[in-house]
Amino acid sequence: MPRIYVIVGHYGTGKSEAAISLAVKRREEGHQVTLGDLDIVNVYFRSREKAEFLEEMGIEVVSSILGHHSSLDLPAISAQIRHSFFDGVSTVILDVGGDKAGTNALVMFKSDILSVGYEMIYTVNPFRPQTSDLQGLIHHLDGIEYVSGLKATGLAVTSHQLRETTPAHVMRGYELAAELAKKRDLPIKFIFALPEILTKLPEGLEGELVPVGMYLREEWM
Amino acid sequence: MAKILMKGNEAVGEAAIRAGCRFFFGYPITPQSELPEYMSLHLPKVGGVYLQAESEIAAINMVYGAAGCGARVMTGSSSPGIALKQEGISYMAGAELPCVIVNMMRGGPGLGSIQPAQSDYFQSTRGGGDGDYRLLVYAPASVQEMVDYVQIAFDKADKYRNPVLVVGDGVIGQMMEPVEFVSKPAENLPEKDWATTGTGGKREPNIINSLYLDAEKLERHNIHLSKKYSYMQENEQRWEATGLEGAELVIVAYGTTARIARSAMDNLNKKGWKIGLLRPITLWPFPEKGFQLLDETTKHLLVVEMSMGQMIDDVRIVNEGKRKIHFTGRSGGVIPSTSLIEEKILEILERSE
Repeated sequence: MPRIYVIVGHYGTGKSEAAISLAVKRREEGHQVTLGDLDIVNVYFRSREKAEFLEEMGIEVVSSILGHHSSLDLPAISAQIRHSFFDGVSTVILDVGGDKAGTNALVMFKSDILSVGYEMIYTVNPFRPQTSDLQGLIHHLDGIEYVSGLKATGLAVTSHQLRETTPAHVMRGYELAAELAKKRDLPIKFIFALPEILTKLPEGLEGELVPVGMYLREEWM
Repeated sequence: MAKILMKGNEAVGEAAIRAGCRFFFGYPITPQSELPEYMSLHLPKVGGVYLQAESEIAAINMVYGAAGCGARVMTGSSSPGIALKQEGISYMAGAELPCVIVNMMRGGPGLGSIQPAQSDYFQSTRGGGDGDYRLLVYAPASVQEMVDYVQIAFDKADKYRNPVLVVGDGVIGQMMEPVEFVSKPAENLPEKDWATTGTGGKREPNIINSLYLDAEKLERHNIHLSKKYSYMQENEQRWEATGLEGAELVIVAYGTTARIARSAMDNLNKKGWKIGLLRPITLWPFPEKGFQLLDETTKHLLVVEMSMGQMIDDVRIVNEGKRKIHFTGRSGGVIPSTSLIEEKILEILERSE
């Protein structure tokens, strides 16, 4: 199994929710897990908001050098993350900020990531206006690959309509991901969806099914 | 057709463009920067102009200029940025210029924090600018409602020749929700025959101005404005009422806080309590007509705000001493929890038993 997962994508496609959900799943499978929140673009709805919950589960969370404060608007990522890269055991999930702008923060770790080996997962959500078609998806993927100097190795379906999500909504993302997969010769590595939706998806789909906890969405939202 | 997922700030931008807004002047500030970003990307595609001004003060004066030419124009900011725009807002109210201003509120006073708040209620409804003026103020509670009210705001601004303020907070600006854009026909709007569009040598020049050196002339202008505001008070109140019938206690909350209050209300009503919710959608005019619908059974009003208590003043005014008024809330960028509201309600009701 890969040691480093880099979760990238267009702004608002569901990267942080996917990163947290994957971290939880890997932890439940018994792995030592580190979640690195590299989002220094937008302080709202970042995975570090859930640090306390994740740490209680035994997941290490690395974000700013000054701690997980939700309102710290500083481009200061803790070098602690490198320890997890090189400890030989941790599964590291990197939650990268959106678009090319967010990807800038990844560049400082490029050589480390290349030396350890990685999966870079590009999230596909057709309900975001800029990634509703193949052209938009490719535009953002190209930008992210260009800035990071890393190549995507797989796709993740993060297609949803929040609590109104149906299996058809997820399948629309899957079909678009399948088109992109064919065009760029990439596998679909993950399908992220609410647990009750995952059980209703057709059989034989490509990619690991990961239940989404809607961790970043408060009960009243 | 499935809805699309948009953040509140992006949705405001798209709704404005669909409402015919072709000019946006602003300056970035967390937590509303996605709005100018959206406008900078999309306005040029529809022949519009996005301009990042050198300051908020410059931006609001550019809005004055565009509005004076009869264009649909918007600016947006967050609390301290809106504070800087107050002079221009008063000038626009004085010169009777329509525009839409968006405030995604953050914690204050001063530079405050970058987290959500509702502590600009006084600023929105009492005005930080000078003179006898009023703004129509909408406070949507979801991304979809943001979309719907941006369209309404442009129409009302044109109808009344007055600036209209749409207030959200950091959560609504940043939160992603499924939305759809259903275009509604604009109201029967008057021609902008007052706008400075060039005389073509065929008429006297139109003048956009808020300066009256003759005191009696200015008084007449103030009486004219005041009549307009009275008409708005009579015709523009909006609110949403839930579970008023038989309610022992009614929560009064707007925007994001109303959503948290609704969760608290549902949790308690499931346990057999009778709690209602009155959500002002217009902060000015304050929906006093909604309060006339309160049931005789209701002995308590609980005001919940993301501030130290500002809207509570308007609740006191419309309540006229009839019911006991209580308050809870958080400030500085802290979001109140459902349990905070539930505990406060139980404390009130158990004490009064």
